[in-house]
Amino acid sequence: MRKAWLAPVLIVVSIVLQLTVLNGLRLPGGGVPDVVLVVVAALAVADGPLAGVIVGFAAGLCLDLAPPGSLLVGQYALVFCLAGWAAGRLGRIAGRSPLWSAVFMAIVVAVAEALSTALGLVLEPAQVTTAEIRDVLPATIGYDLVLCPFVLYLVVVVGSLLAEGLAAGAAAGGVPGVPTRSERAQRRRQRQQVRHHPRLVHAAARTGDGWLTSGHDRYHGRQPSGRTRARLRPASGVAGSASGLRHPGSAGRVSRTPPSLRLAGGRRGDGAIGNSVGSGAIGRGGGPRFGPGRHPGMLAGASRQFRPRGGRPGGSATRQHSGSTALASTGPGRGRTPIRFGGRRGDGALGRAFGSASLTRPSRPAPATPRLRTGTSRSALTTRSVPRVVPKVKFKTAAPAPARRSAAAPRFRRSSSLRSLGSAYGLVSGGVLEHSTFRTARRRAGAPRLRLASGRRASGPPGGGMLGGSGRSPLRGPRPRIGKQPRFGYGRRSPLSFLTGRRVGGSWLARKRAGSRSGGSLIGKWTGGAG
Amino acid sequence: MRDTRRTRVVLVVLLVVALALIGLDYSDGSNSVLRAVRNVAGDVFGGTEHGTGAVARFFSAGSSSASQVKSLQEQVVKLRAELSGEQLSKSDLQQLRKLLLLAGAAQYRVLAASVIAVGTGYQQTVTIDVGSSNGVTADETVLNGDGLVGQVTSVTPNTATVRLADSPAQVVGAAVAPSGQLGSVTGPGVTTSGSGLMRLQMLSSSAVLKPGDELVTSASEHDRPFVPGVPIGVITKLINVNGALTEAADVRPFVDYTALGIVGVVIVPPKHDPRFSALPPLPHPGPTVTVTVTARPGTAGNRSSPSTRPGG
Repeated sequence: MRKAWLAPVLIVVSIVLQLTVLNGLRLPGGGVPDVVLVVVAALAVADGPLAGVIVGFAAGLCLDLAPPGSLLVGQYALVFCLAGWAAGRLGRIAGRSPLWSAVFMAIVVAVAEALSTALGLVLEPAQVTTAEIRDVLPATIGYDLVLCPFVLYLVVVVGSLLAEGLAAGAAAGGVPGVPTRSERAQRRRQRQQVRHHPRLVHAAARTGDGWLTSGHDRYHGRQPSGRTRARLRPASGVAGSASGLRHPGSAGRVSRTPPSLRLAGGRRGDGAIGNSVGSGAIGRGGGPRFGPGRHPGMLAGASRQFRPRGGRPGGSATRQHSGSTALASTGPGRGRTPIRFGGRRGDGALGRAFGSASLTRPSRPAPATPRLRTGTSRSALTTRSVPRVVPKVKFKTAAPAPARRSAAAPRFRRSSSLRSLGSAYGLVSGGVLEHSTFRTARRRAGAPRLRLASGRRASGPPGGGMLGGSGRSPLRGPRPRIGKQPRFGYGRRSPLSFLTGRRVGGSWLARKRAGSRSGGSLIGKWTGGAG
Repeated sequence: MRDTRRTRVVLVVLLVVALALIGLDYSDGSNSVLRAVRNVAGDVFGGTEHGTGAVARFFSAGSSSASQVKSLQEQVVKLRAELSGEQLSKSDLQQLRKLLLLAGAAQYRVLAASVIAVGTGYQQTVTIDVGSSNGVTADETVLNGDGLVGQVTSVTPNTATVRLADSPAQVVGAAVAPSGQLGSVTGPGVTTSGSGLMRLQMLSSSAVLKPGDELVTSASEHDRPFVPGVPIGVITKLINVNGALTEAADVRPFVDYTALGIVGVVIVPPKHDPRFSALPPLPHPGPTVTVTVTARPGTAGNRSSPSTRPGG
């Protein structure tokens, strides 16, 4: 990141230079370079369109207001704002190629100069004459273009010097504007490390055991390199095991947005979920070191305590903390770290080892303890220190939402009653509802979201028809998408029916609601419809 | 992308703000809010320009006139105090001398100032380092030792903006020197050569011009914006346009508008119209001295006639 004050300083210096020195010069050709415009374009190329827009507007406004300015206020602001935006966009396109950056910048400067002249011609016709434009504009643009590469070079050099420190900038060599490959890679790495993205890696888990694991425990004995980041390891088809452990090397740099995990154990068995954040270095202070597959339900924490209960239904949660070490102040304790997950029956072990060690500040007090709000029956919580900021862990014992669904995914409300209704009131074989039965069921259940399956015939006894087009239980698979439900039912007069004069409902509405995918036309075809 | 969308939002907002400012300024030039903002900007940038002006004048400093320093010290003392102890270069001294000579000849009371900034682009404006705190108000005449510079258009507490007579937007009422015929002079704007030729348009169709005639400002109402008698320039070429009712001419200004240093603001106009007294003395032809030696027999007659011709 460039220093924030680079742009204002450059702008003020260039404005003063322009007004006091450059405009008073008598150069061959009649024009003088517009150094403010060139500086704005260079800053925009270096910093992007947003910075370009803001810097351009500010510089233009200053140039409008600075004392000899006799034009209308806002004229230069308008032009420079556009120029900054365009230069920023084209600078993005140019990437890090200095040649293309300079070329695009020159184009933008030339166009902006012409635009400024045109605006002056429109708004201040008394001050600008066409003879003047013919005389001065080509020379001005020419001087601008001469100035462009130098100013761009200056901006980039100063920016990189400020960004990387004087020593680094000097060591970077003579041409900071043209970064080498390694420099580029290094900058990219630096940029990436600012954000904290978990990566998804499949866990090599056995069936039935989930454990909490850190990002680097796959590599025993290997020191975590600087590039290792926290990884989320969802289970590959087995009971959920996930971990959002940060690797020790970056203990001080956790993103401020708390990680949010939403995990669902797909199976009735154990699931162990742990989130160990900010663990310390391995060599120092007894950081976590554990391996995969040691025990089901093992928690990855400070490795002092395992709760080998993952195989059982019922949650087991633990919270590990290794005494004197703590999160750094920039650690994740700043924000809350909500973790929500739901097993089917409240199973799953939640472990949360928090801040086991810190490289940078080993003497800070322990900041956090989790507070479990849970409806699970057997969840355990061990806490050893008083938190400063409390992360929240919520258990949801309801049926787990499929992973790809958003939080706003609809839920079945009355699915159980529908099923019982279906069995009680005679779903006919083949999954097709009889006419009268359907009506009855609909009325009683009040759930018009019935999807009729064109399932296998004789797949069950009468009354054993299946709900759901795929023949799977609605709890199993990903749920069908169901739109918003209208408030009125079949056959009733809708609030809008006075417009149509027609009773909205009946077979038409039933088909509408059932949708085409689930064979809603079957209602009408086979059973004559519901109305 | 979010970044781009936000950028576009910012862009649109700022464009709208800029257009609104333009509209506000266009519709109501004397808006109090804008004037206050301009005053603040004038304070900030004027101070910076004031500091930089001394450095900037290094680049535009002309030749030295060391021999005249001694004789001018008395006149300079007062102006030196007005310029707040600023070190005056020798070219400034020369300009001050000429300014004082001009002001003395036409009985103007001037306030000396120096140009600290020049307008960008097509604006033919300069900033001088005196303002309302020094008694300068808008619509006052600005001149230097050579002639008319322009007119004060706006004033902040410590700076004033001067629109040059060079500007196409500036129309100056002019009187032709010998005859007193009236016309108007407009500026050429920025030109390739730095300072181009002004255009004189006579008011009366019966006016007769000839190259070499000089122009001074004619009297304005209440001596604003121009006090009478300030030299403007000299006619270089007559322009004959078929069908034109009045005569027109090209005028070379006395002042080099691209090299302005010390200028003076006329804060008290003269009691009487100075007519053409402020014009440079050169154009007035001196008396032609003719010496006739009586011829004696045997010697050839000698005839000497030194004469001063008006410079064109």
